[in-house]
Amino acid sequence: MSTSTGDFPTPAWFESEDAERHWKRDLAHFPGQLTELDGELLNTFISGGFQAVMEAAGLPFRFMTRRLWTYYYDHESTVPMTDEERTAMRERMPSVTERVRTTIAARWHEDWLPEILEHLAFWEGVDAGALQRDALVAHLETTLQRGTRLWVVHFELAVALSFAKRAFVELYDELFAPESPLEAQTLLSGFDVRTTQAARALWPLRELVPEGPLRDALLRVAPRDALVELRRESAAAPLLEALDAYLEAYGQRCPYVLFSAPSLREEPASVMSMLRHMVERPDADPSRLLALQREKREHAEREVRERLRFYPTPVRTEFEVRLAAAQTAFLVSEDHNFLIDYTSTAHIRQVLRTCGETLVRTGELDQAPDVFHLRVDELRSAMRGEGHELRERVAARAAELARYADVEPPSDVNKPPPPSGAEAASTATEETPPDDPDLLRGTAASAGVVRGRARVLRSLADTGALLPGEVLVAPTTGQAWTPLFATAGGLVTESGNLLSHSAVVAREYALPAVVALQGATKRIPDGALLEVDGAAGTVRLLERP
Amino acid sequence: MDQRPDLASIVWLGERESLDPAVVGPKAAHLGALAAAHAVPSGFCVTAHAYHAHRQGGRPSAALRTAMVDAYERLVQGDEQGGYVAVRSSAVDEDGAEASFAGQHDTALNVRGADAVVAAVEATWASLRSEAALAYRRDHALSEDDLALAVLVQRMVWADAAGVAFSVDPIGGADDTIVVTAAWGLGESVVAGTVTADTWRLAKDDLRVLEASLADKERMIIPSEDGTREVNVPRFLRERAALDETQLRTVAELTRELERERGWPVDIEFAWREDRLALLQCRPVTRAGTHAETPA
Repeated sequence: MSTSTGDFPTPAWFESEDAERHWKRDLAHFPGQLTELDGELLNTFISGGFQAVMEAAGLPFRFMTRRLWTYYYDHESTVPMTDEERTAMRERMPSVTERVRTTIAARWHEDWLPEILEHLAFWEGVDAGALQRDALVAHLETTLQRGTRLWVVHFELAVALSFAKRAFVELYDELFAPESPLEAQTLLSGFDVRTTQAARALWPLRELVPEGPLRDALLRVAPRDALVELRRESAAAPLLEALDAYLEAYGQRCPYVLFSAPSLREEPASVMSMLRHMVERPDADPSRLLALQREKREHAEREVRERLRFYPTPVRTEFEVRLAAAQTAFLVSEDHNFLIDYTSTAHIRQVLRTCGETLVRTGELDQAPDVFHLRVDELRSAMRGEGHELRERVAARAAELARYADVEPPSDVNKPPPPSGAEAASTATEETPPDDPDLLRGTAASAGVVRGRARVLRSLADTGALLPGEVLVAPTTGQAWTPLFATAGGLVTESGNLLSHSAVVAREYALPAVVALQGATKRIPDGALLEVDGAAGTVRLLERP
Repeated sequence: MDQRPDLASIVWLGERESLDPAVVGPKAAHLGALAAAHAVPSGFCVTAHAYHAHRQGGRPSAALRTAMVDAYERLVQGDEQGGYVAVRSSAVDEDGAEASFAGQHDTALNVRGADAVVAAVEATWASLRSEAALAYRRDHALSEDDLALAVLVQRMVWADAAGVAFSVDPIGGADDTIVVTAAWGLGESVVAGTVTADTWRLAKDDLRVLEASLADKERMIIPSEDGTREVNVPRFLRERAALDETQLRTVAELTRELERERGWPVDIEFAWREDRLALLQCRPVTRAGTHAETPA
């Protein structure tokens, strides 16, 4: 893909080597546009966090991110090594991976979780809006330092978790040669994670939805407006109080790792949408769904132990060790996403936004969210009263966002490195056979076959459109989308993989799901009748609208 | 062959008659002699007498069937593994002698339930007449008419690792060397030589390891619901020694002790399950080119 076309002029590269590097988009995590500040902070946090962890482990892998044409791109690389260094690393790897994956549970409870909670408690304990300007500047620096540190923790965890999951799945595959990769995943689901806790905490609120016209009003209004609508009615007071408490406890989350995106507390559209779906679907009790998944997992555990009982003790012992680590990894990966990716992002956003409010008060910006158009050094200068031409910069960057808002940027810039054997094979199986244009193939993510109308949703703001039993078709589904899983009859996403959030949570909800179906939101027309086979990884278009 | 109604059809390992090769066959008789003092899995024999007197058209009489069912139920009473047994043949010649008979007659492993055990005994009886067995006996100038078959039924050991040990070097003939071989899973593959096994040579006097040769053990035989099956050894285990130092030393000590006890060089089959060592077979070493003199 050439980097210089009419729509996508050659970027002003951050460093000259960038022009030669292979950049690819990550639709699973960053499907939409980034502001200037999003782009800079993500690079600091993600590249920096990843590199710190790799250097500490003596591993040569590096990762960098760039904002090109306002979209997120990343680049993976390996530090050049001599043959001796490569041999030494290969010899060291098994013991590194084993140590890392076998200590996850202890490190999560003793190190990582307490540290994460300490950072979050720090932000909760400071009312940034009440700080004097100098104190706010200091608070901003501390916030950025803590953010940087949290992303080191994030990657320490991510590396450990991937080792643990991989070691388990490899042994499972060796022992049982399963027909479907979902088989092993059943053993890793049905745990009480923070994501499902959040859904469960909302469930009792459906009892507070008043009867009569008010209820109809709640169900009729677009979710974005529902809260405003309700505030006018005194009969809604118990529900409103409970909602405020819910948002206080669970609403400090951003839907993506984007500092410019409102948190659920600021924009509770998806929460209201979930509540509406809960009222419509009294059988979708999250506790019941969790109990079903837990039963399913416990049944699978009994079955796998039955299959293993004839195996030599070292095999059974190793299996149990790897299973326990992978189960811990599952729990921890959901919880650390919840706490770091979504909750800390909301806290950091709040500090940045408070800076924006300060700059509005001093007349340097027109509106607080404009702060997300600044670079970190520009923000620092402005907060010290040394800002220059802030409005011009903001206007130019807002225009840049508008210019690229409705285009689909290239998925790759420069030639990707040749794919490994495994990747090549999996790409081959995901190709649609040319003779059947109505059969689309993605990655099997959650077993089950379901028929339903397609509801193509490009953003969280559209979630009100989803009706019970419809197949949710989306570019990606981060944690903020989880509420919809109780309503949807099936799930199709463009990004993701077997272990990505959409797939994991779809299994929690026993929701048939196909992920990594390229171009799903374009190839599947809204309203089409679909048959989703979550075990085969296929979507059949039965009837076009 | 005369009817000897005074003889029992079922004899338990360790009972006086289980030491008599003419009653239970030499293989079972060796184990019978060791059952009291060593970790021989408990079991019973369907004797040569039962073969002669209670075989009707190749099948056990009603009385023998009842006796076998009772014996099986007693054998597996309180068994935490769920009642799996191994059914092995133990051929009896008129003179009670044994050539190296290993593998000549049917062995049924991981059999569960009284009906399945009775069926396995029948199959073992039938195997005596199989051509291969008869040919082997012809070559060794043994009389076909004087053959009988005892059948040994023992609790199944789901081996973590199993193997064979000799109290002398079976090839080089060195009397001061113990040779141990072992691999993952059941010992059948080691006995039959179908997988590469780990091999150790130890000095008989102080049991120091003289030589260790660890194999890349790709396949193993493990029990299955209806017998056994061969599977891949998971990669993490392939190059790991099938016996740790303690296990190796324990096997070597047992081998040395059995040679001392029996008074002849021994060839044993053993199996480890967790921290328990089971003795599955103990017979005289058949050296290359010579037949062992087997004390009756």
